[in-house]
Order: sequence, then C-alpha cells, then structure tokens
Amino acid sequence: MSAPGKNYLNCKKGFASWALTLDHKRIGLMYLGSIMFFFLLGGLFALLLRTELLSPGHTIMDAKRYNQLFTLHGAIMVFLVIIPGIPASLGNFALPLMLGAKDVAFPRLNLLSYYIYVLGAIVALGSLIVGAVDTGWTFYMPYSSTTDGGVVLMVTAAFILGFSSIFTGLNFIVTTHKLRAPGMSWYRMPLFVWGIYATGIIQIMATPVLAITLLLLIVERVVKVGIFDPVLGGDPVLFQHFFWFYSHPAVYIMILPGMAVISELIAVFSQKRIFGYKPIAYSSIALAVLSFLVWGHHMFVSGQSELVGMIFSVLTFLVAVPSGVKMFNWLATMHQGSVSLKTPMLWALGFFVLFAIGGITGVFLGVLNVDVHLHDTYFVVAHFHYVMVGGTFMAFMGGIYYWWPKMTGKMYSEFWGAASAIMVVVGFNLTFFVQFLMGAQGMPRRYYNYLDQFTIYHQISTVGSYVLGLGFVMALITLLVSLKNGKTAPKNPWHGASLEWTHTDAVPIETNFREQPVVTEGPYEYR
Amino acid sequence: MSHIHKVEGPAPHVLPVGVYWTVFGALLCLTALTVWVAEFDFGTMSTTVALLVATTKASLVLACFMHLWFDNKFYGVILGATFVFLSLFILFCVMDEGSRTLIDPERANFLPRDQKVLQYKTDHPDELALRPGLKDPVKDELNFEGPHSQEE
Amino acid sequence: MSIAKASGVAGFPLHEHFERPEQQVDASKLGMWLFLATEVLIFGGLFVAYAVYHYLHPELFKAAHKFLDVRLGAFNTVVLLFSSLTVVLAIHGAQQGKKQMVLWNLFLTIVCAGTFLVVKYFEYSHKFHSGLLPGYYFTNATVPSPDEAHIFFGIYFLMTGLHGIHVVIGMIVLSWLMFRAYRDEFNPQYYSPLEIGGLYWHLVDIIWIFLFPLLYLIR
Repeated sequence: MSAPGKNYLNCKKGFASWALTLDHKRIGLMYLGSIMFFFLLGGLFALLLRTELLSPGHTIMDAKRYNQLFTLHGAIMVFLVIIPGIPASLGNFALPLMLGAKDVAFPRLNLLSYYIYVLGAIVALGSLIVGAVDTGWTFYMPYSSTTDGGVVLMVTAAFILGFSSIFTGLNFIVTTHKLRAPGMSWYRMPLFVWGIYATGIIQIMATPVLAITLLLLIVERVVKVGIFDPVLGGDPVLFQHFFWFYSHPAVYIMILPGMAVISELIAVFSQKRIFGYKPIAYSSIALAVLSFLVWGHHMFVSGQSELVGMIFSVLTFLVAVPSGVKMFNWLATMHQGSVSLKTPMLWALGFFVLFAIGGITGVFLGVLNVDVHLHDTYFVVAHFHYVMVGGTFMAFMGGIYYWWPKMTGKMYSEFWGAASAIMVVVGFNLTFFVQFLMGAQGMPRRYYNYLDQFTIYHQISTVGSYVLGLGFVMALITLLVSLKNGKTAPKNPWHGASLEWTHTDAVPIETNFREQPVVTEGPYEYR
Repeated sequence: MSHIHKVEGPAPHVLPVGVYWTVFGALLCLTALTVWVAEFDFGTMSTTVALLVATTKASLVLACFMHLWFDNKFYGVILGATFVFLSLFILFCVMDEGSRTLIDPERANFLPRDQKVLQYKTDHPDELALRPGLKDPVKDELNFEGPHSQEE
Repeated sequence: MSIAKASGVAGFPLHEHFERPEQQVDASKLGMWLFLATEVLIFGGLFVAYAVYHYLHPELFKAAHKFLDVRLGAFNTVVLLFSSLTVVLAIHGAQQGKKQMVLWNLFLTIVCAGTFLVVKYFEYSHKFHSGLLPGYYFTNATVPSPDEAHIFFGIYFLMTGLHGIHVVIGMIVLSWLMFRAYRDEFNPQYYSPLEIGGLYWHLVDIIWIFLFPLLYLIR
C-alpha cells in the first residue's frame, strides 16, 4: 500500500514507468494526450479546408489537395479521435475507479491496445509519404480500388486501429462483469459505466466486420478478386453494406460514451438523484442493439433496393426513441435540482442544445424521400458534425473538465474554462448552422468549388470555424496552464457520490483505493 | 500492477474421458452423413440440410469440447448475439440483392446482372479489357484442365 | 479432489487486481468468448459474401465446386475434428495433473494442424496449376461461365486462406502452451491458459465444419 503523499502520478518516475505502465489511469492519460494531439491535427486540416472554401474556385489549394485534406480530416477525426476518444481515455481512467476495482481485467492487453493505437496512427501518417488518400474516410468502391495514393496503407491503419478498439471494449466488458466492488450490483453502477458497457458491445460486435471489409478492400485492390469491383462482376453496393454494417454502429461507439458522460455531469451538477436511472441504462443497451439494424439509411440513393430502403427507414425512426428517453430524463433530473453552472456543466448544456439539433435533423435524413434530396449535401455534413462534435466532443470536453481534478490534482480557471465552452458553442453554431441552409438549397458536400450564390454561407461558416478552433485551443490551454498554476484540488470538488470521488485520495494511489470499498447505495445519493 | 502470488485454486470440473470419445465418434458419423447427404439433390433445401448438419456438429463441439453446457450461460448469450447480428447482416444483404428489381426493373443498376452484363458484352465485344481470365495477353495461357474426382 | 499444497510450483498464480482465483479464471474465459465472437464476425463478412454470390449465381457455384476435391476436404475435416479431441484430452490431463498426457496431446494437435496445412498446400498448388485463381488471375477455360466463376474461387481462397492463417496462429499458440506445460506451469488448480487456447482451437475447427459443406458439398 502506498505511503501518504504518494499517488499514481508520483509513485514512479522516468520514461519507462509511463511507457511500460500497466496502470489504467496512466494508460488513460497517455490515450488522452495522443487523442488530443490528433484532434489538433485533424482540426488544423478542417481549418485549412474551411479557408479554401472562403471563395469559389482556387483559394489556397488545388482540387486534388482538397480531396486529400478532407479525407485526412475525416479519417483522423473518426479513427484516431472520436472512436477511441471517450472510452479509451476517460473510460480507462474512470471506469475501474467507479466500479471500485484495482485495475481493468487485463492490464497488459490494455497497454497493448494503446500501442496498437500508436502503430495504427503511425501507419496512417505513413500513408502520407506514399501519397495522400483522396477517397474520403469511407473508402467507397470502386474508386478506392482504382485511385492512386496510399489507400492500402490508410486502410491498413484503420484495420489496426480497429483491433485497438476491440481490445478496449473487451477489457471494459470483462471489467464490468468481473471486477465490481462488493455490493456494487448492476443497478448501483454509475450510468457512465452502463454507457461504456453498451459501447463495448458495439466495439466487440461491429468492429470485426470493419476488419474483414478493409481486408477485402485490400485484397480487391491488390489481387482484383471481384467481390466489390463491378468490372469483375462484383457489386460495389455490397461494399457499402459491409462498410456501414460497421460504420453505423461506430456512430454509436462515438455518441454512447458521450451520453454516458452527460448522465454523470447532469446528476452531479444538479446535486439530485438522476431521474429514471433504469430507462437511461437500458436505453444505452437499446441504442447499441438498434445501431445494428439501421445501416442501410446511409445507402438510400446508392442503388440499394427500395424495399430494403423502406425497412431501414422505418427502423431508423426507432433510434429516436431511446435517444429521446435519455434527453427527457436528463431534463427531468435538472428540474428542481440545485443546478450549478460550473465549466463541465456548461459543456453539458452545450451538448443538450447541439445534440438536440443534430438528433432531430437525423430524423429528417432518415425519411426516405427527404433523404433523396438531402443526401450528400452540406445538410448531412452539418447533421453529423452536430452529433459528433456538438454531441460527442462537447461531452468529451465536459468529461475532461469534470475528471481533471481527479486526474491531475489541479483546479483550472473557471473563468477561462467557461469562456472557452461558450466560445465553442457560438463558433460551432456559426460554422455549421449555415451548412443546414446551404445543404437544403443543394450545396453538395466534398466539393472543392461552388456556385456564387453560396459564397456568403461559406464565408460565415469559415469565420465560425476560426472561432470554434480558437475556443477548443483555449479550452486545452486552460487545462495545460492549470497544471502549472492551478490550485491543488480537494478530494471531491463537485460533491460527487460515485466511488472515484468518495473513496479515493485527491489523486488516486496506484492501486486506486487504500481499502476495498464496499458499496451500500446507488451512485447518485447526494447529501 | 502485475504482482502475482500463489494461492489455492478452485477444483477442476472433470468429465469422464469416455464422453469426449463419444462426442468425437458422433462428429465423425455426422461428417460421413453430410458427405453422403450431398449425393442427393434436395433442390433448394440442400444448403439448408448441409447447414443443419454443420450446426449440429458445431453445437456438439461447443457444448462438450468447449464446455459451454457446464459453464456460465452468459457465454451462450454472447454466442447467440453474434449469430443474431450475423444473420441480420446476411438477411439484409441478400434481401437487397434479391429485391432490387422489385419496384422498378429498369432502374436496377446491377440486376439482373447476368443478362445486363451479357447484353453489354455482346454489344461491345472489344471493351471490358479487364474481363478476368479472358484478357488478351493471357488468352494463350488458358488452362483446359477440367474438374477432377467426381464424374457425373 | 486432492488439493496440491499452495507452495513451490503448485498452486494458482493470482494477479494482484483480482480477489479470488475463480474471478480471474472467469474473467479470462469471458474475455476469450468475447474474442471468439469477434472472430466469428470476421469470418461472418466472408459468409455474407458467400451468401450473396451463392444467391446471385447458384448454378455457377454448383458447377465450380466440382473443381474442389471432396476427399481431401473430408480428410481435413476428420483431421481437425481429431485435433479438437486431443486438445480436450490435453486439458483433461492437466485437470488430473498428468504432464505426459498434456504434452503428448498438445503435440498430436500440432501435428494435426500441420497435416491440415500440408493437405491444403496440395489443394492450393493444384488450383494454381490449373489457373483456378481469384479474380483477375483466373485463367481456367473449362469452368462453365468463366466470366463469373472467378468469384467463387475468390471466395474460396479468401475463406480457406483466412482459416489457414488462423490454423497457423493456432499452431503458435499451442506450441507456446506446450512450452509452458513442459515447464510445469500447469496443475489441477491452474490450467486456464490451456482452456483458453483450447477454446480458440475449437473455434478454428467449428469454422471449418461450416466451410467444408459450403465449399465442397454444394448441390
């Protein structure tokens, strides 16, 4: 057992003590650092893209470079940032603490999955040397089998990253099943755990299909097998089935952990027992299951049969139900609670607004005939950015701000934290709301050039993206500054009632708890 | 976090060896059955019959060799979920391929593929240089070795 | 059941973050079953491709499968079934502390896996020789409707190839287990690595149980 004053950060020193650590908290921090690095990189690409779109035609790059940049932006943000995002960083840090466990079930596998992630990232960046990919992050056939550039390397990178995701999910599911503290029944688990658990189900059940899809794509490109290539008698629409069988559930790998974080934030910062614990818990599982039944709504205009399109359209509406259950339960939790507008709560409220817009426009897109008009326009771009950035990333930032005192033992500046959250919300709406408008008017996505009538929208959007970028950079700088100048954090600054606040030191020791916690009540019993 | 200490472990759950040999015998019989059954033509049911036998064999391996019958039933739930999702995947893909001509046969991009491809190839004999196996440089190397083993 | 003394080599090596040995065993088994689920779904993608193209070209599949040798396929099925049996017997040996039984059965399993691969090598080389190759490289003119037949062989090579890779990985895992058994790491209280490696090997067998009728016995 650790001596007083020793915690997981200062108990061992040196590079090797980090690089070879089996401590879930350190691995979580390593993930967090890597993910933030790639977030900044992907964000930089986004700003370059927006700058190019300031005026019609050539602004700062040519069309080929534009295609490569939006592919890189998409691939990095999807495979290196949002999919690992919350589970690998915050989940790794908080999940065992919340369950009262000493570590995840397989610490070595956990470290391995981090290095698989690093390897995948290196291969992805390596594809730039061979030649940047211009297929979009979806790698649609048959273009991806004919275009030049490092498609094989980029696809290999996504393949490798998939395994990192699988191992993370596997670890969390086993940890949740087998390593709960005495008295921690399923319904005493914090909702964050439920969300990460549901995410784990998808990571286990969907990611393998990505692996085989990408493997087939590589084989198709190298050996020309003819499963997807129409020239050889294959069916390119089948590739889309394969791809979206993974990638639609992957959307829920992205958003479910976000919802999981929000459940914690809303309860803690309202200091009120969460309203509808079981509906929120089960709606996570329901979303995980439903996510496997709706992939065809990405393919309404791809040549898929109308019959299947109609079935997928109807099934898609079902997704709105569990999402709605969550939203209303969160609202009811805040009702008559003592809401304190601390920085994490501001991110959570931002999530509310943005995710509501993103979710509802998703229903528009799920309607078969409306989608024929809106498909592949900026409307879709705006929709998924509202969900992915406005939903997941707002929750991610909220979660980082929420657990930052526990991670580092430092308090950040409330003023700058709040200011950056507000700036992100403003910048975000400026960037993406106009994209709904131009999308509805027919501005296609992934286009380098556009008609003059869209100029004003694009310019507003670009200015907004600068504000948004500045907001995120400010948010990160606020955190970094707190490492140096921040006040020492108390043990439980937010008066949380889950184990990571009540039973650990201000900064947890290496084995998390000084004595094995015994759970006697739910995680939202505030006093 | 990887300190290991020796403790007393749980007692193993031992099955008599005879059970394993019996299951192995059953698996051999089923293999013979599936080869024998393939001689008969059940029309569209043939694949179903073959899959039924294969599923029985797999269940035997799962239940006995993999101890699923005696182990935590949650492993069975994992397996069941896997097969449900896989079946949905197969079902929707095949349904899509099968119903593309249902509403608007003219619109169908890929089906009926055989007829369309055939028509195109008849109309454009010189195109489709990528046509597998029959592309010009390889034509001389064409192999005329037929199917071996079964004669019908 | 006699319990060996918890000293020296005997006993259960418990990792610090677990409380009880059962917990550690259950965790590793649960992890393995989840991993097996991912393996099933990886192959699942190929089964989808198979289903779709079998549905689109039933006649072609019927005609093309005659180029595969049923006798070799059946032989390999029996070899793999036997190897599944020997794995179980190895675990049985470990449960009763019979080291020789563990080592011999693991050895037999690896031999079976090797035999399987040798037979597969002969099947492959015959197909390479007659131009029954996937996709673009398909050059056999005797297959009915050669324009589409390459798809069957593409799927054949993908399915058996991926399965073959799993056999090779299985051989590595089994050799590692044999090494550990040789070093007396297993005893009647602790043999879960054998069980977990065994689960993996059984899955490889189960996949082949499905591949055999689907590829070799189409009617």
